[in-house]
Amino acid sequence: MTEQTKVQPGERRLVARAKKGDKEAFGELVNLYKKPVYYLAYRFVKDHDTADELTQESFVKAYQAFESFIEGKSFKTWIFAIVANLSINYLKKKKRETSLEDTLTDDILEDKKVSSNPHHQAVAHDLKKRLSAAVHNLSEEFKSVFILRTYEGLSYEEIAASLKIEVGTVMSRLFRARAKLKDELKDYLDEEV
Amino acid sequence: MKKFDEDFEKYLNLYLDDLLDEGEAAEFEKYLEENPERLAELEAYRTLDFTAKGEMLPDLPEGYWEGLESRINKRVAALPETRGYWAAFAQRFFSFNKTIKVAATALTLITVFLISRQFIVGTKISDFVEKKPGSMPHPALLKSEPPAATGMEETQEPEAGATAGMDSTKEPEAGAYADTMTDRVLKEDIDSERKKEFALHQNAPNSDDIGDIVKMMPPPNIRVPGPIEIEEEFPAPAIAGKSKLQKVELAAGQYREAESGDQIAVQSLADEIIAETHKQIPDSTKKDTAKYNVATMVPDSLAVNPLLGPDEEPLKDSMGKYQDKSVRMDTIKGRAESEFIKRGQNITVQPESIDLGETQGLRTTDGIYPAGPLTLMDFPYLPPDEYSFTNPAPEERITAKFDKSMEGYITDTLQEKDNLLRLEGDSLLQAYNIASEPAKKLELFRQIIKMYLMVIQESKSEPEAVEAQNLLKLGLDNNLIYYPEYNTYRDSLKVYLREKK
Repeated sequence: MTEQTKVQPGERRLVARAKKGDKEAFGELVNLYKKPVYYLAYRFVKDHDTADELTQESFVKAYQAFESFIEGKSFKTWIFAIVANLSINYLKKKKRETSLEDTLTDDILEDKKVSSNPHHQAVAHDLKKRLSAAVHNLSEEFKSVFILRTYEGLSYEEIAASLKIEVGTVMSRLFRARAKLKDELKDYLDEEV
Repeated sequence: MKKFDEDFEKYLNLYLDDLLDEGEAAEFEKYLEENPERLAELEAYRTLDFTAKGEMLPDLPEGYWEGLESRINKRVAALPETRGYWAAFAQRFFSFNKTIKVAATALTLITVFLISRQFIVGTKISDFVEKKPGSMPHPALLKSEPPAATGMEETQEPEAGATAGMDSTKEPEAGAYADTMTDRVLKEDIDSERKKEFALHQNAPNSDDIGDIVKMMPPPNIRVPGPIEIEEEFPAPAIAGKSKLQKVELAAGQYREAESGDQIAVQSLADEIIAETHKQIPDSTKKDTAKYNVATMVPDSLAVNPLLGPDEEPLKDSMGKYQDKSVRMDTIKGRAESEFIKRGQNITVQPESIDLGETQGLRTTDGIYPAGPLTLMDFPYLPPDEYSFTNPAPEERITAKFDKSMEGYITDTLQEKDNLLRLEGDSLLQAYNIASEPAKKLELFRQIIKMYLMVIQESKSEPEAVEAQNLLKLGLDNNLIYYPEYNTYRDSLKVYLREKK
C-alpha cells in the first residue's frame, strides 16, 4: 500500500542548500511548487485572494522552519502539510467568526430543486458545482484527507505524515468523506450514472 | 467473496485508490460483476472522483504566477539571516552525541528543579523578625509561623554565625538569634525524624574530604515536612481565624508591656508617631497620584517629598542633595523625647536606637531601581481593620471562590489552606506595623502584597482586589514599589478577577 513520493536528486540538492539558508535555492523550490501549493490552498478555501495569501504564508513558514525538515523526505509532502494545516486553521478561524456554513448548506439544498435539469451536460456542470460546494462543506478533518488524496494524489502514508494522524485514520476519514459526498450528491450521481 | 461483502467499503476505496494487489483486484472485479448493485455503487464513486479531479479552478490572469513567486521571494528575502548563521553555529558547536545530550538535559532539569524548589519553599515570617541582640523576637511572630503542610516553611541550621558573612539577608549578629530560634523550633515542632536528619546534616560532611570550597559554602536549608502545629491549636478554620488573630494581638500587647527598656518603648513610640505622621499627610497630597507617579520615575534626589508642604523647599546639603531624611529624623527624635518627658520618663532618644533610616541602598534589591535610602517615614501605617486578611470573616470572603459542587474533604482542605494563608497575612501585617528597620519593613510590605495576590488568586474576591489595589497604590505613592512591579501585580489581579468570570 506504500507509494511514497520519490525525491529527485535535483530537488534534494536544492533542499540541502535552502536548509543552510540559501535563499536562491529556496526561490527555486518556490518556482517548482507554487502552483500545486496555490491550488491546494484554493481547494481548501475556495477563494483566490485567501489562497494567494496562504500560499505566500506557507512558503514563508517553510523557510522559517526549514531546520525541522528532514533531508531525504519529500519537500512536496512537507510543504503540502504546511499549506493544509494553515488552510484548516484558517477555515476553523473563519467558522468561529461566522456561521455562514449553515447558510451555505441551505442555499445548496434550495438550489438543488431548481437545477433538476434534464440535459446531461447541464447536469454534469451542475454536479461539479455541487461537488465543489459539498467538499467545501465537509468538516476540516474529512476535507483535508479528501483533498490531499483526490486532488493532490498523496499516498495514505504521506497524508498521515502531513496531518500527523495514523494511516488507519486516513483510510477511515477518506471512506467516510466519500460516502458523505456520495450521499449529498445522490440525485446527481444517479442521473449521471 | 465473503470478505468483500463484509468489508465492501474498505475494498471499494482501496480499489478506487489502486491499492489492491493484482490478485485481489481481479477477485474484487469478479465480485462486482456478480453484484450489479455494488457495481453501480462503484460507478457512483468513480464519477465522484472523476468530477472532483475535473474541478473548476479559477481563471488566473496572465503573469499571476510570476507575481506570486516574486511576492514570496520578497517576503523570504525580508526575513532575518539569523537562521543560517545559527544553524552553522549550532552545527559547529552544539552537535553533541546522544549521551551528552541526555546528560545535559538531566543536569538542566535537576538545576531547574533545585532553583524552583527554592522559590516554592518561600521564606518564613520569622526571617523578618527583629533580630536585636539580647532580646527575644516578637512572640506574635514566633507563633505565626505557617504550618509545614503549606510547604512554605523551612528551618535554618544553627550555623548562621559561621555563614552570616555569605548570606546578604542575615545580619552579622543574627547567629545567636538564629541559634535560639532553631533550638525552639527543634524542641517544640520538629519530630524525631527531622531531628535525625538535622543531626545527620550537621555531622555528615567532612571538610577534609570535600575540600575548602565546600567548607565555605552555607549549609543547605532543610525542608520541614513536619507536624502541623496549627492544626492542634486551631481545629476549626472559622473559629481558628479569630482566635489566632486575637492571640497574635494579645501576644503583641503582652510583648510590648512585658519587655521593659528604652529600646522597646522607643520602638513602640516610634510606631505611634509614624502612624500619626502618616495621618497628618494631607489627603490631597496622597491623592495627587500624578505627582507621585512622576516621583517614582525620577531619581530620589529629585523626588517630591510627601511630608513637605506644597510651598516648602526641602533642605539641601553642600552637594545639592536633598536632606529631608535628616530633617524628619530630628523631628521624630524631638517629638519622641518630648513625649517621654510628658509621660514622666527621662529617656534620651538616640537616632540609631529608633533606626531611622541609616540603611542605604535598599531600593536596589531588584537591580532596576535607583539606589537611595529608605527611612521609617517612607512606610505608611497599615491599619489592621483596613487591610486585615481575616476580617470580615473568611467564610464571607471565600464564598465566591468555592464551587458549590465541591464538598467534603477537598473543600475543607481548601478552606483550611485559605484560612491559614489569611492568618499568615495578618501576622505579616502585624509584623510590618511593628518592624522598626526599613529593610525588614520593605520586605514585609512586599510579602503582604504577595500574600494578597495568593489569597485573591484563590478567592477571586473583588472587594479584596480593591484592597490590594489600594495597597499597591500606597506602595507606589511611597516609593516602596515601582511601576514595573505595580503593573505586574495589578495585571495579576486583573487576571484573577477575569478567571472568576
